Amino acid sequence: MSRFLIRRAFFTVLVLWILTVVTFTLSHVIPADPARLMAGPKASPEILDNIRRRYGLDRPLPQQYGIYISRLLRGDLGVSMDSRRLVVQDLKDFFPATVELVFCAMCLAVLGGISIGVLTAAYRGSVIDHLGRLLSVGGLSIPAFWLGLLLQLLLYYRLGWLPFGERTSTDLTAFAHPTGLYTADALLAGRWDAFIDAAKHLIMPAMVLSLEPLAVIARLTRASMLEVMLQDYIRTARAKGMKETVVIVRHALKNALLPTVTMIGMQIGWALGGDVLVEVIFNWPGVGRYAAKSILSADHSAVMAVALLIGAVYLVANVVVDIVYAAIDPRISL
Amino acid sequence: MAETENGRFTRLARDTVRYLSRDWLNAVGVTIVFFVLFLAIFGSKIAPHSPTEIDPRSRLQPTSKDHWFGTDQVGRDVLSRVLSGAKYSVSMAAVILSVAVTVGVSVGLLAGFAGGSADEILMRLTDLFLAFPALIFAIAIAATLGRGLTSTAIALTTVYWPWYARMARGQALSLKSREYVLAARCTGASFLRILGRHIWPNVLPVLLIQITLDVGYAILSTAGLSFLGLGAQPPQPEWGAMILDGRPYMRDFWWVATFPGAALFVTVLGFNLLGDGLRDWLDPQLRRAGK
Repeated sequence: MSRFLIRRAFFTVLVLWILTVVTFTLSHVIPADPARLMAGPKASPEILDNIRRRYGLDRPLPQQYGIYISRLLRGDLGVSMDSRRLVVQDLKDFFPATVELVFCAMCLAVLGGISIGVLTAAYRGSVIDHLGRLLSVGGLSIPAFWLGLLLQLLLYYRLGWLPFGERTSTDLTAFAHPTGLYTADALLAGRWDAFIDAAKHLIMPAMVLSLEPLAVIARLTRASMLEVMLQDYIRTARAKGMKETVVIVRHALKNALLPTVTMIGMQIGWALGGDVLVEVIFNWPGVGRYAAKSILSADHSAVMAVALLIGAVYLVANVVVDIVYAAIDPRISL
Repeated sequence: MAETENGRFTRLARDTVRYLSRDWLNAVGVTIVFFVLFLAIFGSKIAPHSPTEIDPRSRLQPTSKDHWFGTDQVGRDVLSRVLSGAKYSVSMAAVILSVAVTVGVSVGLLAGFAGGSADEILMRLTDLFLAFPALIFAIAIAATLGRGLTSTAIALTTVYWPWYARMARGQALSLKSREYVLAARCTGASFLRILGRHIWPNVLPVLLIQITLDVGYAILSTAGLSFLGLGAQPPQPEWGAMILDGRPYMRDFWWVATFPGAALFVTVLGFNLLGDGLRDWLDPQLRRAGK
């Protein structure tokens, strides 16, 4: 187990390092001149030079990279040229929002996907199966950003049931935010009204984001269940007179879930990608919206920091998934 | 019994009919795909109005006899734009996938067969690409190269090829030690001959299915990048860009963004249904289970 962790830790660091090289190169090759973007079109050459000197933009590239890496190792991610704040501060503000959204979406996707997968496998060939499979293929085909717009039109503009976007509409600074997840914080502070408000803001984006992973998980679970249900031990269980529900849940599902667990790691990656579009649509103040804005305004430090953060999250998530997988499957030893 | 040329065609025709009648969704998928391909070629020609000519006097008109899908914020006919937009999505998917598949499958097959350190290196390389969420990588590349569909194509190709390399490598590994391959090598068949005669026909079905399913993803990714402002630029009537245009007007002029989105949805659905149908058709395991 420890050898596995060491190997994976090494690999993670290696990938992250290469990621810094790649994103550094990419973001410094951008045709846009960040100094001019910061100073505005009417800035004089002196001001531009000043800015370049201050942010080290006039040094040769390898030197800039060296400075960047040494700062990174000290925990300094630079200053965002857009917000004029430390990037670390920006990320601290925006990361919990993304965590809340992605976590909620993945919960929906896993619970919904597995349920639908099991149901469609158990009632194979029936109306339930067809509906479930249509939902899966539909969920994979629908553009998330379009669905978001439609839901906003229906649930906000026309029916007024849910808010347009953002995380909250009331003043929530009245209590502490230990986790940064508005729903959890509200519960911890005993503020039921704030919790309802936060949840109402969370539902639409989470549902939209969860749709694709849900569809993939549902299909995989269904295929996996179908395969498992052909096995001999299932036949034995039935022959012993066990109720069908018990057979399905106690015996088939446990084994069918194994490929699904691996898939969850990959789905987190997809969710992180789709998260950018969802955050833009619902104006969700998370890392995704920050990333889109930073890339479009050539904000080097911010772009690299976000890329590293997301890369790290994805890699760590996959390590966790691998460990969980090994824990579930007795045949595997790390 | 000798197989005549005619025999091959009737067998193909019979297989097609059987495929279509297996599940009505298969027929739906094929129909949609044909329709979209038709639009990609002839869309601009059958459009009732010009997709790019602006007419500010008739801006934001609702659906009507003259404008079946209404008009957008500068008075262009939405139906015509939707019809003309098909070619962007289809051609982007075609370009992206042909390059990604060619590069990816070549690399993967090579890695799988060569084995050893070449395989290790190539696989670590693809692992790096796969270790990062695709859309974000694509956004970063597209932003670097500048806005426009060319940058988007390059970005998405870079993101997609590792998947095909992985798949091809897996196929190569599993086929490498099959008896007929070993037998062919024993009798002195050249590398190319083994590749063409034994490996390729086995890789092809899996490859086709994957490609069909990926067309949908390529179209959605292109539209997504256009929605962020990175892909198609005005006045190109690409569906994702049209949704971006229509977003500020959703409340009172919903048609501007809704119809292009519906077009995206139906198109991707068609390709996914086709891919699913092909997979059920060609997957021997599922056939054993008696679908």
